[in-house]
Amino acid sequence: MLTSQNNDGSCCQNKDTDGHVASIASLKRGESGVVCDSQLAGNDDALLRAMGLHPAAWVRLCREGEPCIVAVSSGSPGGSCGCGSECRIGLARSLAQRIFVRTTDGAARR
Amino acid sequence: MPETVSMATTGTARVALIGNPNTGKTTLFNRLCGVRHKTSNFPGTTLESRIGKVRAGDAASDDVELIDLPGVYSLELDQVEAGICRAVLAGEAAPRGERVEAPDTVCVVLDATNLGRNLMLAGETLRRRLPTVVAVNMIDLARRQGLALDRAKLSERLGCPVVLVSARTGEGVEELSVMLARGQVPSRTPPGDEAGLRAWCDVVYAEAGELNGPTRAAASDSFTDRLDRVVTHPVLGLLTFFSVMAGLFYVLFRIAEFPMGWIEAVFGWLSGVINNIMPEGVLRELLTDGVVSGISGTVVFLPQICLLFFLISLLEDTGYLARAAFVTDRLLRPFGLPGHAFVPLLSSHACALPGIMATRAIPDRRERLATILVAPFMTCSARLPVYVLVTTILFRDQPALAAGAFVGCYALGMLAGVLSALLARRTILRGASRPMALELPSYKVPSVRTALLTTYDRALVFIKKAGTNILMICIVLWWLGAYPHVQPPAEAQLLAQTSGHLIPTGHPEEDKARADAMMAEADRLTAAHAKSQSFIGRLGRAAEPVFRPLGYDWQLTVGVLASFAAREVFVSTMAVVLAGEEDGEDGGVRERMEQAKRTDGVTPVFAKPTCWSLLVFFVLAMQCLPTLAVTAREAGGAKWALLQLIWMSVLAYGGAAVAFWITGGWGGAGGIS
Amino acid sequence: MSLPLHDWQFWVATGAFAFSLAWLLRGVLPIPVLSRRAMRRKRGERRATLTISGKAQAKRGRD
Repeated sequence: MLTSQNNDGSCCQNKDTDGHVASIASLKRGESGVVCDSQLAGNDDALLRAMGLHPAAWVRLCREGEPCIVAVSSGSPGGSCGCGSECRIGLARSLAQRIFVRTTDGAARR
Repeated sequence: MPETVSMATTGTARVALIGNPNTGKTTLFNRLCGVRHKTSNFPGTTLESRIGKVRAGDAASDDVELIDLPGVYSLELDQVEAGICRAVLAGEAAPRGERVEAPDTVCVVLDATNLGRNLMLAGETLRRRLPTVVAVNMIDLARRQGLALDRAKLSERLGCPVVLVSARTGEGVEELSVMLARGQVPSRTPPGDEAGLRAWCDVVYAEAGELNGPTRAAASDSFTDRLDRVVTHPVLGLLTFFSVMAGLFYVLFRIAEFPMGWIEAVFGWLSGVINNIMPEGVLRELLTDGVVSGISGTVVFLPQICLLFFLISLLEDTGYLARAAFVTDRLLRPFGLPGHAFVPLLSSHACALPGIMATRAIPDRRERLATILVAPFMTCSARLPVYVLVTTILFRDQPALAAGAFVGCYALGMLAGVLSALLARRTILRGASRPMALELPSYKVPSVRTALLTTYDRALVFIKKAGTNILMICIVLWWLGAYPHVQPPAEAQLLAQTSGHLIPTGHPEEDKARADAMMAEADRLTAAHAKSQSFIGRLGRAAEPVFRPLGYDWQLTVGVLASFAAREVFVSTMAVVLAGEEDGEDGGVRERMEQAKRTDGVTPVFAKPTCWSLLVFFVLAMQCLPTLAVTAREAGGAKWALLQLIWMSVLAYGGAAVAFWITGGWGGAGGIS
Repeated sequence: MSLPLHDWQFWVATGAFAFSLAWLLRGVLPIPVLSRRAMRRKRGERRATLTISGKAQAKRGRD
């Protein structure tokens, strides 16, 4: 599990210029990204990873606010990204603020 | 890890059913076993397990035993559910009453529409090297979304048999039931580390899954998104929630009253038959007033309990309840309760017993304990006859006000419950609340079959746990009210003598009617006197000073003391004490109860301040032995049940005293001085 | 005040009363005949201890 002292996802590796890092809580409806970091405590982190919010999982924000609802995809038939295997997870805002995704648009947001 | 292969030593082959939550495991279990199942617990936990029989061949000897394990996202989580699954697969635990040994086969249930994630659990299970069968469920939904799975490729990559099923339509279920007896040790071993396992899952899914053109999931996603925006909206979501709850309660009370009336009529007829068949005597009274009364006291609530669980199960199957948990989380979180608590609290409106058992779904221990402690504050069905009696007396010919008082009782119970939870979470159950993370299942048409089987399970639990206790309580109360025997009072003896020596008026029918009325009055006086001199009556007189501040005389004290064991008996106990007859629903009896006087001969027993005091008392008091027993078991010790009893009793006493005082009970008209 | 000791029906009713009272109190009082534990041992059930990863679990509140 990757951890960070700062609440800005600045520990995410592979900080190439193709995408910006933001917490799930700061995404807008319809925005998507790939999970790259989590600052959750051990049990919460393990549970959410097991539910599908693991590094490299593709997420799309369906609903902002409290709760925040994300559609999560992991793996795909035929190798294309983000389709075919999906579930929805409702997250309390305090959890959504601690999971970071690499988006492909906008500046880095807290 | 060395290979382990387990074989059945004696008896039926055992299959453990494992899978992620929301994979349709319950529906599949119901489809495979139907009503041929029983419910048990895992030792040392409150986790339920269902054990059923599956016909795997033509003969009964081909049956396999299916054990439904708790839904888990991963076997490696530090959770009780995951620990139980690991222990069962390792042969170190089994449901109570079952052989403790590793299952002969493991059936892993996967969701075809979310295979990528589900394959993680499959991989962890395959690593256990037990004979395994994989059931890929919801294959009909996957097809609708444009997904096709290559069964042969999937079986080859997993190294074990794979069956594509739809528990909802029944597709593939028969083949699965045969395959359950033919599991094989996997020919492949997935990687042991998380990253390696995830990569393995991606490869398996990429090879075995196929997209038939663009997925058709986009349209259903859009529908789901739109519906979620409404049902989880801060304002619309609450409105939706309250509308759904109002509809549920309306259906519950409107429809359940018909079978409840039929049940009361049947048991009334049964009592009549016993009275006609058996000679007069103690045994006849034991049967009619103890046994029949005790059984009917349980069975009469079954329609409400069954209907409530049926409706909750349907709502859950639609996918709405998971969203409602987030809506109610906003309402309950300020009081230290989680959104998960709303189903147990809702269920407690029929009966606290299944409501408390439903708290097993609450993951955090402190939050679960708080919910258990306050669930009995929710107005249950057993309180309703008391509310009806008292509000009818308070608001005779004013049905709107009576209905308002009724609703007020519900509201008071809920308010007391949430405030008590807040107090508990600030004192004895301190700790941060766990933020919610909940998988939201897709919206779908609910399965009536699943709802019926869930209702059947819950009804059986209620009958076994509450029914037996209520029957025993009624027998105990009957004996305490029947003995010791005393001579009829002088007034009753005089009436009986006089009725046999009336001066004829020349109208034989009128004379007979007068004599019968006098004998009936003599019987009523005798019955009321016998009750007052019985063990419970004496107890009522001894305890009267304790309840006098609440406005209760010894007669009401008898009723309240009796109802501490079971609320249901209050109305019938008061009917006997005040009117000399059991049937508290009878209009004539009710009128006599309303007009009954205290020992001063002037003050009504049911004076208005006393009625308000009674209402508040019954809203807040813990008056149910079966609920206390379940609290002790589910909370992990008798101390929690004792705390619940003491807290609710103190609150009820104080609240009733305040109600009595505010409504003019002390020195006011109709009160006592 | 009297108890009809001469009446056999009284004894049947009192037996039912005593059994019911014992049933209700069986969680509290050590009554072997009605004890759930004694009934389980009689049926020949085996007690099972929950272990997780082979380690016996210390008794904590029921979860």
